[in-house]
Amino acid sequence: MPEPEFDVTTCVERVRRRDEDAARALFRHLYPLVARLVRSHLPRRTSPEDLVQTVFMKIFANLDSFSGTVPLEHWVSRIAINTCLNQLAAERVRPELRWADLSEEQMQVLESVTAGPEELDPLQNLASREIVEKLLAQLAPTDRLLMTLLHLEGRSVDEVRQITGWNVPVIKVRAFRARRKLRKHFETLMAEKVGN
Amino acid sequence: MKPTDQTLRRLFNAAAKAAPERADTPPLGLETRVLANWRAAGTDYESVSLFAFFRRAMLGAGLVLVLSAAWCLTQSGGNTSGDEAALLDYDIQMSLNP
Repeated sequence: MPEPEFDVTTCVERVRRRDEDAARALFRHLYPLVARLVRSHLPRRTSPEDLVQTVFMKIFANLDSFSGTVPLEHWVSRIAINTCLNQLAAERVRPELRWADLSEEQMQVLESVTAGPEELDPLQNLASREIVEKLLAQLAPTDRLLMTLLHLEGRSVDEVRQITGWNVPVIKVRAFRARRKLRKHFETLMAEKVGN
Repeated sequence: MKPTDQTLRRLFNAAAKAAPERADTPPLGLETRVLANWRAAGTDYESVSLFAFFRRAMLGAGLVLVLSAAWCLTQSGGNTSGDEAALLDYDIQMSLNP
């Protein structure tokens, strides 16, 4: 028997009336989304659990301002992403990625992907993700966020607009610049490999 | 598309297919801490509301005081000479009746 659909509107109203069961239900409903977002945009020196807790505190603190004009998931996503961005910005120092920092498997992935036009072996997907995350860690927080949303999570520009609140031209210009920086970091990394 | 762009696209395609970590269940204690914070924030909210009420009441009272004083000043402005005459009369009376 399928689970009954979660009634967001009623639950939010009950939380506003200080119903603890509703608060618990809302937390459990939103936890997978918040946890996934935090892990996708996790600052290096922050524990995911701490950041998830911070995000939920902000969600509950600002629940009165949720008007229902956008889906709750979009509103929550914006809080989660902005919290991660603020933490990322606070870190400031971004690690430089060197060829020597890569594992054997990651090096093999890069050699495969540069060798020919074929898509990578599915067994190399995880190593690819690790490399991509290391490359993204070299970008500024907003660039990292955009690349993750557009190219890792496959979101449309309109979805990115709803999540971040940025308008479409801003998204497109930032994405263009972010890709250019990413390309430069990748080329630097590959040049180091050739040098080795 | 530049070769680097094609390479990056293949890399991102592979990365996107990597199974995302499932996080359906919160770690032990996280739910408890979040709800405890929510409860505490609720208590704080009630205290803050009471404080805000009294602050508004004080501001309102202050405004009434200022308006009253301003009204009194405007009223007494036309009767200044009358007040001075009353004071003089009082002085004379006091000097005549030690």
